[in-house]
Amino acid sequence: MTPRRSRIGRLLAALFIRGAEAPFILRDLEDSFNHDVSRGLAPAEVRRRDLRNSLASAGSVWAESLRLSAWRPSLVDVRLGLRTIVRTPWLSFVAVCALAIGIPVGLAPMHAVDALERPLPGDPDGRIRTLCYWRDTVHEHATAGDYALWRTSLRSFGALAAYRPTTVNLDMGGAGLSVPGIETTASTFGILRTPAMLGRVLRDDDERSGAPGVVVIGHDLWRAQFGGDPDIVGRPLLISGVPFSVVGVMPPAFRFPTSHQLWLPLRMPDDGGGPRSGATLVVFGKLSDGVTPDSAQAELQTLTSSLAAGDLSRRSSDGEKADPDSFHRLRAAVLPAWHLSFYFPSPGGLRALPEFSLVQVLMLAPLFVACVNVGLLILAQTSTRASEFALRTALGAGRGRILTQVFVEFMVLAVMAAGAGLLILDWFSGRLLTALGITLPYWIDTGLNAATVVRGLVLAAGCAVIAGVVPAIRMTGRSIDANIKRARASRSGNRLGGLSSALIVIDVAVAVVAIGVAGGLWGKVLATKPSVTSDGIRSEEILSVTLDVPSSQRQHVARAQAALVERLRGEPDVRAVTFATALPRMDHPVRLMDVDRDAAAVAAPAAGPFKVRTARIAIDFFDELAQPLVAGRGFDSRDLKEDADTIIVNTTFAQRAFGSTNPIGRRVRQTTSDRAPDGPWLEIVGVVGHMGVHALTPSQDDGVYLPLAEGDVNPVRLAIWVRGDPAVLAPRVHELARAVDPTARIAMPIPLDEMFEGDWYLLRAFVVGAALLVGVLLSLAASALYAILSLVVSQRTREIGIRVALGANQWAIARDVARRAVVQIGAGVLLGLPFAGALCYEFLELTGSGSVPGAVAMASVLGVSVMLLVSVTACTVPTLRALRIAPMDALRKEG
Amino acid sequence: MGHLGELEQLILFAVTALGDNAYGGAIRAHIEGRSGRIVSSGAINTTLGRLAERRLVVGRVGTPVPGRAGRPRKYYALTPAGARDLKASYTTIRSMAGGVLQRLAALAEQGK
Repeated sequence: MTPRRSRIGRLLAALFIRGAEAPFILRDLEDSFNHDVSRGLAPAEVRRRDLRNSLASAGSVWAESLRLSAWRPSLVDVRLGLRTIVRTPWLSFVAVCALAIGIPVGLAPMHAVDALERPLPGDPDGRIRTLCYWRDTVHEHATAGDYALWRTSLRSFGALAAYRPTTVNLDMGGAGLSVPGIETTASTFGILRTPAMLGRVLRDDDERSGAPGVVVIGHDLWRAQFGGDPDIVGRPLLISGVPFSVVGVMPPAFRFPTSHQLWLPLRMPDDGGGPRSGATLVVFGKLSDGVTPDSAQAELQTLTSSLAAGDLSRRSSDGEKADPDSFHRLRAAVLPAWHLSFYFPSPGGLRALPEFSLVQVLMLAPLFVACVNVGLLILAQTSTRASEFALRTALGAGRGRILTQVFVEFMVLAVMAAGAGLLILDWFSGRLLTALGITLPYWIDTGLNAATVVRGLVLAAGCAVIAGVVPAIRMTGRSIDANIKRARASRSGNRLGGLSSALIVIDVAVAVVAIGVAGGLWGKVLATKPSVTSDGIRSEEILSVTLDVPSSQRQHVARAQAALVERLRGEPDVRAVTFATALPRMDHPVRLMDVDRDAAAVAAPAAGPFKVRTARIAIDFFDELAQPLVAGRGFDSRDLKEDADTIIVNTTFAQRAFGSTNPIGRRVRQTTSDRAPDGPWLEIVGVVGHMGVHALTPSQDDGVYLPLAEGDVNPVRLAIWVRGDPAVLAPRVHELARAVDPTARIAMPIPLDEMFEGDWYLLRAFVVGAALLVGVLLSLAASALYAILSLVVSQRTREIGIRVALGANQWAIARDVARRAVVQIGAGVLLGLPFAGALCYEFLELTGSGSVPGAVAMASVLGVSVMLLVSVTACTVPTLRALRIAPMDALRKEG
Repeated sequence: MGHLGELEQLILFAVTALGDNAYGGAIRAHIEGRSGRIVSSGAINTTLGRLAERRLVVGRVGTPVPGRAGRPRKYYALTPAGARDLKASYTTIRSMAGGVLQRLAALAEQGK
């Protein structure tokens, strides 16, 4: 019996052996089979060998198609790419524009991180590190006591320096001028290795108490206020009424630590209070030779752990209650120098935050949308090139060769787009920050760098694959016969198949997500814009200042704080004064709070622990700011006693933790996500309304308040409620502070509403940018959708002619044509809406605001309407055109 | 002179030996008959494609012969460059093998 070839082998060979050589390989498989038969092998053996040959051949052909050398691009391909651009100028223009917008948006997050996370000038190896603490996710500065201890104990650092920012009031011949400056140790200039341009930098003996007052000024200040006077050194200067002498001018590029222009010697009256005591300082240093950042971190953490152990045992023996400012859950960190200026909620910086990955993905989404849309347009265009591909295949070009050509063709477009996008990024990043009034640290360079250019080219290659090669794979995935048949058929009823459907569905889904999120952002802006009715705080009448008393003596600090509050209350224009660690609408530190589950009548709607924002407030805080309590009582002197463990919560937290039950008398305590011990139980004595615990969501977050006595915390924030413009009172506050304590310093005097406005304008600028981007993407999506749908419909002209000739109802034909588009749009909407909703609610924290879901819904309806309108138009126009053609004409023309 | 891999050498020897009748199926049978090595038809064709790119062989499509779907065979012939490279490869192997065959045989015997 003559054996027959293995069916599986034949099937696999037919499926997988593709390309120009396929017919010859298939022929050789038959020849080999016939040869085995003629040798007289057993039928089973012949079939087994045939199957093995077929499988191995399919594998060889696929391996060959993936061979890198088959993807050799050439100058001819580049020339073909340029010729394609000239031949299809509008398609090329649209593609370049779309990608030139998407690429810089996709690059922006990493570019920003690269710009931020740079070593300081003159420290290319990043050996200058900052030393600080972290408590949970909150960054905490060191203190004068820490600095004194570290300077004598740490061996990992060759030199340590400390500074604290201050706003210096210069007396320029009667006119006041506020200049950002720092009080710093002289070692700062040694570590940064920057000599003065004129005169000298600060010296160690300038820090001595009683030494003559000296100041070093910056180049910009020297030019602007002193006309670049070359004899400035030795000239007297009045700072807050106190005479100083200018001893040096720094070079133009030096603005340490951010954009500062004045450096005073740091004089600490005492630093003997031990670690975690004294004035707050920023500490940094240079690693000793041979010391790695990790070993320095280990040394600092060892020191901190031993201090924490000692602190715990001392508190236990003394019977003191836990102090939030102690070593409880405190971790020491030795971090890169850019942490001097940016306080991210993670020692690892922006890259380590999970939110950053989300932002990166979201920022790449527009580029993906652009690629999909350009891909749709390319698909429409490449379908008209089916005959070209078929001819090239017939002439011996392999599939890899054609794909290489298409890749290079599109790469030419993508590289042009990447170039334009990089220029946009370079131009936009600096100007955007300037327009928003954001001053970056002097060592940050927002210009293009090599890493960003390389990433841009990688994105361009990705775009070329998604938008160019994927459609080409679709167009070339057939044998010569099929390609030729397809090329002939493309003049009639050819379809683009499942790929176009999938792209349209994805396109619509992503457009719906983008529009929904943009609507959500807009809703957030509307919901966030503060007003007196949102939280009852008259922020435009409240002056916020920071009072810093540089002393480690609690009594000294307490006296100064109490005296200044009393002096301010005596001012005629002041309505009320109070103090806290954070004022309404400022970002309050986040803590984890646990609710006492053992108490009776537990009916909490949520399990906890809860992320809450906390502040320590003066006992008269609510009275002074005219905030009546919703339930219970406010703080009084009883709550300042050692054994008093009381807390006041806001209504949002009360509702979330206790539902409709009465929270008064219930207990909560601070907890942690790691194994550190929990804080003591605190009894809720009052509930207050929303006062704003977060800059961007002032009336939505959970908040709790702990009592604060004078001297407990240094520095503190003062809230001064005035009649009239609060900014006018700022100079008077400086005077009163000096009168109370000559060493006391007032920093950051700013009306509360202005403090918030900066954040709000930033958010609004972001939303406007996002809206513009979404608008461009929507236009692109609409044009791509129109192109692909109208192409699909116009390719059915012959079919429509036949159906009309056979007497089909014209409305039925039109309905049939539109049905597919509507199904695709519907699938896209169903796919996209849940993502849009999830993104809005999960990541934008849009809870509890009525206008936000409305904005999301409105935006989604708008996006769906636009897409439907485009689809109906794209289907209707070519369908009506086809219906108007006489059936015989249509058949003659297309046949 | 370009480097030739082992399979490329085998195929070029087969093309030379088969003369005007060097198509994939015949080459495969020739290699198996002479060396006992089974090479898939796909591997032979892709290797011949690569050799053609390097201009070591030249292919021509034959007239369709009876068979499934009337598929044609593709016949290959050695080019002068291919002949030079194959000769050089063979010479290299022979010179490298000179004087070591006895030693190889002795070593192989030890392993038995």
